[in-house]
Amino acid sequence: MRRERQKRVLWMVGVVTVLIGVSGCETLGPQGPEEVDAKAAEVLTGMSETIGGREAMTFRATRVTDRELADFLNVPTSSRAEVMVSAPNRFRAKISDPATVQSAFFDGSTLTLYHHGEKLYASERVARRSTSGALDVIERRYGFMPPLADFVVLNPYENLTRYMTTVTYEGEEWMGGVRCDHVSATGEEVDWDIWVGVKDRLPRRYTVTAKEMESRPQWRTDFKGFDFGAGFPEEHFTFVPPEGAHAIPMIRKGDDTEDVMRKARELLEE
Amino acid sequence: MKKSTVGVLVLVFVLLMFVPPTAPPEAEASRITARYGAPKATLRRGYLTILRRDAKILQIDGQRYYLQDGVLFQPAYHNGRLVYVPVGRL
Repeated sequence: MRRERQKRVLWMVGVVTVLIGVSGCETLGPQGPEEVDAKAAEVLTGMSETIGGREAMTFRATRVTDRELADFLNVPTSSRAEVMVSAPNRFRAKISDPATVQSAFFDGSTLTLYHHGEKLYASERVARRSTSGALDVIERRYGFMPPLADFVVLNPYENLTRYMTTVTYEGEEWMGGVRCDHVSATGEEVDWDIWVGVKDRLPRRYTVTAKEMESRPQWRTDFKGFDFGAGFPEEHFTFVPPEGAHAIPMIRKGDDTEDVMRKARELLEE
Repeated sequence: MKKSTVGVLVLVFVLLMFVPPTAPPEAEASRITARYGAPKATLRRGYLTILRRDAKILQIDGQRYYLQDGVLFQPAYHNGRLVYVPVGRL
């Protein structure tokens, strides 16, 4: 009788464990899309192999953000970026909009954000072997992702589709005078579309739609000037504070605002 | 302990090893938001993204502060953007 009860309890433990495992699988972070059609996968793989893991890559991008979205996110409606990448773990970007110019430097160990107009910079150590690893830490620790980050990693395909549920090939279309393959993706919060050159496999336009907002506003990023020529000297990615620049803190995700204020007050009272 | 009991315990242990870490939905949502830009609403209480041109610059122990309308602000990067954190009223 006792043995029977023991057995029953143990089986229940087993069943509960299996159920925990199954429910855990469902709540695990995004593992990539559920559906990707073959042609879309081919296009994205081609693009990934063309721009991912390059020893030297530069490109320019212009971004236009619909007014409603720009107001909501408190970002300018237009900006442009010059990006330099050196695989596996270095990048540098200069982002300009009508009001400000900012730069981001990552030399494989330190991330620096620099505001040219105010001459203020924040540097944080984020040593990682790959750009993707560093970006994950930045996202987790500081709660943001540098613009165009999905295009400077070793595997852009993986990064772009990480939070999406379906990825579909839409057909061939002309974009900026170039014949492109159009791929679209749907996710829970946003959808995106990308146009990739049929011949050179370079991204031409990337559009993100915020579908949770009623007017479905968009960001549109146009790429140009891809260059995979000469490499960069290592120091190219290391920030050297210009004369008169001041260091400021970078606030971590979850940092207590009161704590930041208290530290500053203590400094002032000393 | 009986063989069957040991077997079930081993099975439970093995299954537990495969239980993946769970991510709360709000954490994933915030990751997605971070990827595409943090909404203005997430700017913490009192943070400013811009100061007036006439804000006075103060240098205290090598740190830079700004004084505007009697409120002292410390510049900092938050969510990848330059913000001004109010630290007190003078």
